[in-house]
Amino acid sequence: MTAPAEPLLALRDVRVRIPVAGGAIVPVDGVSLDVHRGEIVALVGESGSGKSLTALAILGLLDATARLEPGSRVLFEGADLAALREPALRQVRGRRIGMVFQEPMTALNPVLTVGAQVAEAVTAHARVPKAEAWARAVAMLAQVGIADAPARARQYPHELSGGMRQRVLLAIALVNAPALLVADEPTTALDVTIQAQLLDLLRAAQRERGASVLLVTHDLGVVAETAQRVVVLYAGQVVEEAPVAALFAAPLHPYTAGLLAAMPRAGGGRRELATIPGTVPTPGAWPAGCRFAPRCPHAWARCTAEAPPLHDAGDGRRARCHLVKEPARRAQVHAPAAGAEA
Amino acid sequence: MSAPLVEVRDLAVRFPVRGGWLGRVTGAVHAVQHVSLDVARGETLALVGESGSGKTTTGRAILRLLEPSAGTVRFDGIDLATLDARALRTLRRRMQLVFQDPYASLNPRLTVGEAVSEGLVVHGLARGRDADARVAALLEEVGLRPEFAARRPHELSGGQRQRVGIARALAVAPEFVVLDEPVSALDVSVQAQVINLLARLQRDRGLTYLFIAHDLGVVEHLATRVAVMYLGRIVELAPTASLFARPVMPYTQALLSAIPVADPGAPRERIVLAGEPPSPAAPPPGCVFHPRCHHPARDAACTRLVPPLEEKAPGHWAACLKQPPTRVDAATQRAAGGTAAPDFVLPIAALRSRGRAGTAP
Repeated sequence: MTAPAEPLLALRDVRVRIPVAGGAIVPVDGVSLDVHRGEIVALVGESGSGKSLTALAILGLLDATARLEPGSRVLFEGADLAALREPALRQVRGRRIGMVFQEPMTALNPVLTVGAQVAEAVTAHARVPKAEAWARAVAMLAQVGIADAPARARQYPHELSGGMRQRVLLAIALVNAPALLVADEPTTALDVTIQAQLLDLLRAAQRERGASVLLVTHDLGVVAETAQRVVVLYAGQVVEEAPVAALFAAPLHPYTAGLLAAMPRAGGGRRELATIPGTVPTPGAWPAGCRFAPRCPHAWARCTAEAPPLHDAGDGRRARCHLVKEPARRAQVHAPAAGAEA
Repeated sequence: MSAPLVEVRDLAVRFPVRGGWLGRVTGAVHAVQHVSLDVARGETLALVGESGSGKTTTGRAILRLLEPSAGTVRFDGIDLATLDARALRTLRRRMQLVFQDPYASLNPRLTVGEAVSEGLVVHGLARGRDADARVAALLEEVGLRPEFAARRPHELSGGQRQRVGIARALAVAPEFVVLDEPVSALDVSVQAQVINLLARLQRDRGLTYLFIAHDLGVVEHLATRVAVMYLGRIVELAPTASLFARPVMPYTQALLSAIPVADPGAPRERIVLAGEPPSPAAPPPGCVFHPRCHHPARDAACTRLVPPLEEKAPGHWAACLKQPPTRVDAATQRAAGGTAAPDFVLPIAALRSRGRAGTAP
């Protein structure tokens, strides 16, 4: 698809700082990314990559100790959300940006019926008579695939299954027809058949309502089936960005290549899986130079000495790797290494 | 073929349901019913299914960490129900469990060395310097340096903790290991390391695995055979390649079709199941899957007759009245209200074969 010039959401140099004993860590360290109108963008990373903090930073939901550093910009519909105060942010959250998180039990209020919670999302942002808010809530619950919605709306969260609660959260997120949906691991806690139903709903929201989605996930299968574009995070930085087909066909960053090779997949037989040696470094213990260098099968002296910038590789692709600008060396290491074990 | 290492026949586990403010027993949840399976020496039998399918309960009942309410479990020909506590404890050395969450399963106050040597000491296999040497060798075998013996669980990453959990299970030199979602909590890059480790240990030590998992990609990679559970019953049991290429039970077909494929170009054909699994406290009569089934021949017989787990192709067992061959003949089905003749359907065959073409190296 051809992307319009003005993105719906643009993160520019987003840095999150958290004070710790004896200093501070920066688990999100200069993240820039765009989400265009009607686009599903996957934000991919392992634990400690900073993907969930990035999502929270967009929504102004960082906890009290974490701070967006000056210079971080979250541009959405002409405003810099990073510069807004809480009352103004609240008008954006839930109205223009919907959100869904992984844990459906903790995100719902246990003492309110689910219908009341969806209706509350309506009345929080518009002067609507109670009866109409309730009617909209029930209609929305039906749209997210809850059978017998009028009766279910009167139930409490504990009476519903995990998949059902996640649908309720999606209904809350979508009821005000937001332009953007931020979904952080929305299907991770769910069974695979229920996950398939939920991902269908996300795609339907995009197709039928023109909503944009920022989908935070660690699951590359979900990415391949849902997103148009992918942003890969590693150790607090964007390391690769590409249209989904290009990323899976020919990843540019050795970390992305390693992740794809490490996935057990159909037809792979019982061969040894390719692995990435070592573990994801924790914020505060990031290596000098390229942060992936200690685990990279292709690293050479330059990689530990000099941090690579996020190079533009053409065709909407970017990669934070010296190899992008070293065609001769790149040709030599084209195939990802296999079989290394920590 | 030699006798199976583990033989399970008609296993059932019931949990009491308590109701009212007095907490009286008002009913029972049949968490597992009529489960029969063999685990051959040296194989990996995967037990898959979604939440509430009874796969974890089955694994624990086989190890007798849970008391079955019916059925028998034989280990190396020995009926576990006939053993007294002492004999059972001795036998336990030969059967071990690796948990999903290595953090929760390790005592935070014990060092890695103490945790790994605990089994050695309890079973009187080694002590003192001898135990220390065995611990160092075990840590090396699971890919950890010997100095890890002095560390405590909170100093380890998730992958390192799972390696410790595996070393701890292996310390007593078991023959049979129940792996309960051993890689589900790990990041992709670390998950691959642990999967390779499990495969290597099985080769080196001749281990037999019961591998409980919900990630079907991992299952396809590791398992020799796969048993699919739904609402407490085994609905299909087949060699891995056969199960993935030609799933018979309509639930298995839907489950396989729901796996996201990490290939954006792969054609998608999905059987979207209506609704959610019913509660195990009130399983539907007849075939437990009938309320959500997409089989075109589904009829009243499915709502009344419990389909037997029967051999549909050599080594490939499935429970479905409508997927021939079946010994529940047409007359019996008609007598139960059936109107449609059994007729084999494989709606996702095309998907699986095409999906594979692009991913094989």
